[in-house]
Amino acid sequence: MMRPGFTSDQCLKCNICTAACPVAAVTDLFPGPKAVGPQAERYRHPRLPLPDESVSYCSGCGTCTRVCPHGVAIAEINIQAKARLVEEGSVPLRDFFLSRPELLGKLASPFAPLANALLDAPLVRWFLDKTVGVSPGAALPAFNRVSLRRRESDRCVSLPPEPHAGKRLVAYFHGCSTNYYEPELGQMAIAVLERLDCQVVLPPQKCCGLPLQSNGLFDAARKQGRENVKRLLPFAERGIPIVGTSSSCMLELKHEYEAVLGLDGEGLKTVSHLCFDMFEFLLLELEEALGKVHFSPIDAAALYHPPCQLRNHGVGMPALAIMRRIPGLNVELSEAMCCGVAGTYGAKSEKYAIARAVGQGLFNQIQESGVDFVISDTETCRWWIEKHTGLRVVHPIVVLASAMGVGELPSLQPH
Amino acid sequence: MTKVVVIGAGLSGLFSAILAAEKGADVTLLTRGRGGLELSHGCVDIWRDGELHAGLDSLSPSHPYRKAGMDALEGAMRAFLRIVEPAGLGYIGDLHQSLKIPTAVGTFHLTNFAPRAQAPDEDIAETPTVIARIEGFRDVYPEMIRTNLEARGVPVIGIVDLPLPGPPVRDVYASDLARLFDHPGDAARVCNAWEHSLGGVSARRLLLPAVLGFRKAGAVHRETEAVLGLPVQEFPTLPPSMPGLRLERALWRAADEAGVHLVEGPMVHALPAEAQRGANVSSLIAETAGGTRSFPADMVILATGGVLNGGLQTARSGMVVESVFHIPIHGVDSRSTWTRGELLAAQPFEQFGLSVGPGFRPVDEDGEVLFDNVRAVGGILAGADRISEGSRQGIDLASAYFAVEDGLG
Repeated sequence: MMRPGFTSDQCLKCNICTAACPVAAVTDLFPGPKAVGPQAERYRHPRLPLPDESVSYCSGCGTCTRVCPHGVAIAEINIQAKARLVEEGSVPLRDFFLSRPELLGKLASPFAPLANALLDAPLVRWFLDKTVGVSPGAALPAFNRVSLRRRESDRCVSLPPEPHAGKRLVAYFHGCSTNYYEPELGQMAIAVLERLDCQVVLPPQKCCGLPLQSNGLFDAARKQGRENVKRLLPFAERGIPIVGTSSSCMLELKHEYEAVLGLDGEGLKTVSHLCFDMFEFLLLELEEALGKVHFSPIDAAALYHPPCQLRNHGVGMPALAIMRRIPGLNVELSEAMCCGVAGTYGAKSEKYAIARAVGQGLFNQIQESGVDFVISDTETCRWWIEKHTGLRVVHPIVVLASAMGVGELPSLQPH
Repeated sequence: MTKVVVIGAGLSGLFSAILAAEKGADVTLLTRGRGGLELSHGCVDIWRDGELHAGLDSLSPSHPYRKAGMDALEGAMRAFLRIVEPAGLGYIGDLHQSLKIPTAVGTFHLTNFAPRAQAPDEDIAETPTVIARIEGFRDVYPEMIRTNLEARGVPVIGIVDLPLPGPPVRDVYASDLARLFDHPGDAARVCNAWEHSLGGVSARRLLLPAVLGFRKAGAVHRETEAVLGLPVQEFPTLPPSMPGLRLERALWRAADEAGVHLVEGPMVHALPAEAQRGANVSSLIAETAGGTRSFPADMVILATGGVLNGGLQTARSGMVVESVFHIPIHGVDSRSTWTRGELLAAQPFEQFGLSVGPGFRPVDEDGEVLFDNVRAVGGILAGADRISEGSRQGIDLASAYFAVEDGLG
């Protein structure tokens, strides 16, 4: 793979990325992906400090790379430049914690009720804002007392077992958020796969490292990446698909380890080529079984917002295609490029207003469309949209599980 | 259900995907990045000098218009106008008559269909016109527009400076300005300030860079005319080109409505074994973030564009090959044949493309059809000099329409 910086030569300055960038659209502080990417790259000397810091306003949504018709790795250039800014300065304590969901989960899960009450308390939020810079408007999820891995401990295996007769073995990459915050989502994903004749195991796994990467902590992110490749390789070597419900974790495994963090080797290739988004996998591999399933109607109107990270998989919107098969369910497609939060970007006090402005178009569309609830694949997007619209925002697997009778939609009453 | 895979998201790709989905096919559109519409003027050029009403018979038999025929061209235009109608851009025009509209350099662009915001009611040459300069907006040269328009007989009354609500901190793009107009509050403030600047100007037309809104462009244009009390005519700018973006949005929305699966991002190629003549292409390979994925197809529509759009790849050796199936372009073997000495002359590379047989199926050097179920449409077709003919969008639409009618009709 070509080093991202070298792809700058393919830039024609057509500004397609500038027009699509959700951040440049709402703030003068960010000159746009072309300006801070292929254009600024030529002023970045490998051994001298970066001449300009405006790239720090890039949220890392990756829209620019996806819309570029000439193969310029704009987002990858920008995230690498952001990491250099972090190297040159000191990392705030906030970013150390925001980028380690696994550590937070391990620390807080045993005291879930207390931790949640604290994080909900206005005084605590005020304090977090003023001291470390976590915005009071940030959508912080609630810890769950019993993690997915504890709930499903008999599925946790370090090596792939022999599959039961007639079953297809699937390794579920749940990610930190499903494990510590939303274990029910993981259980519904498992139930859907089992209903489609799969046998689901939970391979050993670490945090994918994306939060570390987005906060410019590349060395720590690489450590997570190498560890994950090592743990998932025995599954991938047996050709067992690694399927995930978090589209951002899955993109990290599929693409970012190599393209952004510069990891390489045959092991990584073997693993990344067997990684699938859940709905991509359903459409590609389980279409026949899915065709035989009876869907109960869901009489409601929903808006589907495909997260940037999912769009960057380059597989389209497989969840939308499946949602639209559910009788009674009317699904409108989001027109927004991004909801704004971009992982941990919207949680930061100095970025919150920008992230909010990025999401405003989506929030308006949701309000104007009068839908009953919202569907989106990535956890941070869901929490953020829920916080700013008051509507329920669910993962598409919850909708599918409900239509298949193996799960239940939460009450659709607004919060 | 027939599975159709369309490659390319420019005008011809989006248009054929919508038409195929309307005919009940299961359509997947694969595109690497956004298509040429983002850079386009948003108008539909059919034929520059309006000679088309004499029929297509005077064209070479290899011209895409000859292969599509007048019925397809007419059908395509009807379908296009129907598909973009809900976006409210108000396309007007005539297949057999040119509209003369001003460009960003003050020359005239002859086109056939244009959005209401670009197409004048009155003849430009007889209308006293004032040209706008928008504060902080680069790459627009009102003095040059004035000189060139005056040389073409347009009575230009003057140039007026139009302010923005606040001082810009960075370069202002057309898309930044357009977003202002999509916010009702901001739009009112801008228009009020402009009304003030225009006070006492006795023009019958305001010529303005195309920045009047994105999502609500048609309505914004009408409102702006109402507030300012004079006809407002937009001209397309350097990219981001709002008229092209508005048209692209209208087509993306229509494609979603029609049930097209839009897959943005991957490079696409065909299986090497299938890139052999005579076979039917049963699937296409997409390079996604997680490696290769196969997309099954009963019919493939190749709408990848010409040299500038990635449909053709040029090599140092001088060879030019089509990028998905690696079909060599005949008669191109040295780099000296790609260009002509004069920069502004019609350039040979712009006419490189695939030769096609019945139903727009690509053919080899001897005119033999390469694959039964592959159709090539739009900018990738050889046989036309789009720039001097003024035929680019007409070819995109007519070839897409014919290929879909022939393949699924």
